[in-house]
Amino acid sequence: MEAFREELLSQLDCKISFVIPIFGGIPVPSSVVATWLIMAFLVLFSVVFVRNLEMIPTRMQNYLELIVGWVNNFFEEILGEEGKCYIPYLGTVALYIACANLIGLFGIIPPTKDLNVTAALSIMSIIVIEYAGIRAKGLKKWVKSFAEPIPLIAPINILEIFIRPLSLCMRLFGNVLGAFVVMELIKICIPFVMPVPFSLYFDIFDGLIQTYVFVFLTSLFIKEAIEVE
Amino acid sequence: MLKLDWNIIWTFVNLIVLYLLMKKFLFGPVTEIMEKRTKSIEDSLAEAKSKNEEANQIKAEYEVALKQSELKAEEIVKEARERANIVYDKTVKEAEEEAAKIIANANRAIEVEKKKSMQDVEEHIIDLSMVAAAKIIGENVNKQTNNQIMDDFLAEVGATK
Repeated sequence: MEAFREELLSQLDCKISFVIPIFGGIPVPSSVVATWLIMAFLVLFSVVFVRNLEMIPTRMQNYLELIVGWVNNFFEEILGEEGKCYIPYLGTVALYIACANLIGLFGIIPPTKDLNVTAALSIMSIIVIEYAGIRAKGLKKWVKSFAEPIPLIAPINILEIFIRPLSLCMRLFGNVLGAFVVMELIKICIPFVMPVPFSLYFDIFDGLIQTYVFVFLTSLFIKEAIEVE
Repeated sequence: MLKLDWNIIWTFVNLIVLYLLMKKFLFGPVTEIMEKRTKSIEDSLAEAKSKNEEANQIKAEYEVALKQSELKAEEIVKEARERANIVYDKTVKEAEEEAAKIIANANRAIEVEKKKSMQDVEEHIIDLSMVAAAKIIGENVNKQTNNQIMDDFLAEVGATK
């Protein structure tokens, strides 16, 4: 039992893959290596299939347009015409988180299990949200918008700047960590067949749902920020 | 496990790089071509619509022209028929008149002939009666008296007829 506990805890640790030997050694965590893998995959995929696009789509271009079109429609419905410029960022985040959550299927530890990654994602989100607010309303109106609808709730509005990324970060991290722990337990206890249905649920279904929730909430917050009364 | 440290910077950098790459290689070109296609389809539809309208207009024009030419043709035919009728009527009338004239002439000629024949017959009868009377009377009264008698006789005969 003790060994089992040790094994699980060691799995939960975020390991350092290697150290870049400059400036006294920069540590590179495994989550960053996984992220690089995902980036390489996404960029390679894009470069290979986006080449020579045609007005009349053929084979692969159809699927590509299906995905991009779906992403565009999904965000455009929430953000409207003014928020169109944030779609590529939200789409990138959606693709990254989806890949990060699904990478567990290939035996690689999902980078979203690392709190640093989800924290960075949600901090980036709040930066984009507030940037969108400032851009749409102007600095003065943006500051004023904290005192709306009544000045009394201004502290709560300011708190929201911290609460929103915290909840985004923790929701994603918690879900992925929970799924990871349960999957590890199942793999240790019953390594045959049993992990398959659970993996379908935790890795694919939950992973995609969390992706959806993360980008959906981010776009919803952006929409709220750029709404001009 | 719950460890927040400087490694967070990695993700910021990765995310920004990935965003720029995705925008350049995936979302940018694909969205662009989709918008281009949408625009080209819209343009084609608009063009088709305008072409259709133009065609309809031309069709209407042609229909009007066709109707006009039909009317004109009808008019021409009518006029020609009228003219032909006039010519026909005139010709028939002329022919009838000619025929009537010929018939009248013929009738007149017949009448003249008849009269002439009658006169001949009368003269013959007179001569005959003269001869007969002379035979009967046995003596020749003078010609003037004879004629007087004959005329009286004939008038009598004519009156009884």
